[in-house]
Amino acid sequence: MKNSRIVTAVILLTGAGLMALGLTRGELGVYFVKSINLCLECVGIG
Amino acid sequence: MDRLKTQRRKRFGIQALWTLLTNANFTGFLDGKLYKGPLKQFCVPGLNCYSCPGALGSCPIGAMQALAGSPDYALSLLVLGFLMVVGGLGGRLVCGFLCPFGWFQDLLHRIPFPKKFSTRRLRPLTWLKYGVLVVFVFLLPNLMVNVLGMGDPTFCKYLCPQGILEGALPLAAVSENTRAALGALFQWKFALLLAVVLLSVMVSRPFCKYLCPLGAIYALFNKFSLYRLRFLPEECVHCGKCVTICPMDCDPTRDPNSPECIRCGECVAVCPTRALQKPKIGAGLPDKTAPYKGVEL
Repeated sequence: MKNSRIVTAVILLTGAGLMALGLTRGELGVYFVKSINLCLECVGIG
Repeated sequence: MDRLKTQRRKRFGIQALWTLLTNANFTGFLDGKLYKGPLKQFCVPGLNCYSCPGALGSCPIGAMQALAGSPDYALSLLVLGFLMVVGGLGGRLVCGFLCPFGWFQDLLHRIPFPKKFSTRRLRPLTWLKYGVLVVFVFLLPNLMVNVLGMGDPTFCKYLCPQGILEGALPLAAVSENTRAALGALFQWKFALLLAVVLLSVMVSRPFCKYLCPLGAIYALFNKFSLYRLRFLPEECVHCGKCVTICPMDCDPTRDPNSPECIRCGECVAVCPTRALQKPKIGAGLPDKTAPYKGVEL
């Protein structure tokens, strides 16, 4: 029980850390541009 | 039976409300224009195409592929981290409560049909979604690139029916240009969507079981998430009601936190002896009332 709680905490902290790292790498801008323009592949055109 | 009805109504309400909230750009359905505001920077936890004219947030699988297909990144740490946090909190709880496409399949499965099929024997096919995740979401956008080093979002392009349901159909309904541009790719994906629709009437959640890469990711966290079902074997009378009611072919008495479990709560609702329980808030924390037990106040 205690081990699984530690694993949960590690997962959550690692996730938060990866999010922070991704933000500093400028990833948000890349997919934001994709998301505000029509994704031709998604709708079956491209 | 009352508890089951209550659980189903509660889940239906949450699914409906969440779908409405995350696709609240209603004018988009009328003018065919996508929402371009700041909320699109945030990923929603479920499968919700960002080319839906109503979508306010981004699809995590679409975002993942957008980064994988870009020349500067192989993997999105931001989206991966987001999925780890969401998965670490609830595992596949998102699938059960916060995924519009999951809700769509649930609605279809409610349609009366002479024979509803069990997919228990098809359990090995559930591994397919991990293959879809690795190949279509991670590998192909990185490996199949053009001269500029950019790859296609291959899952979105070839397999995702949500792009047709939420994106192509509403846009084609209001835009003649969009209708004119639809070709063979649309026909393939529309056929896929049709297959999911027909299967969903007969079988529970076929896309979630066999194809969804987002479900595959969250499944990895089911055994370690903060939200986990509890099973008390000493209370179980082996009536089998939990196995019969499970839409995902799980046996909660053997594995209450199976990777296939979408945490719908129906097994908990039908258990006559409450051997299956949802997690208690604060479970595992010290009992702060302990010093006062037995003391009359």
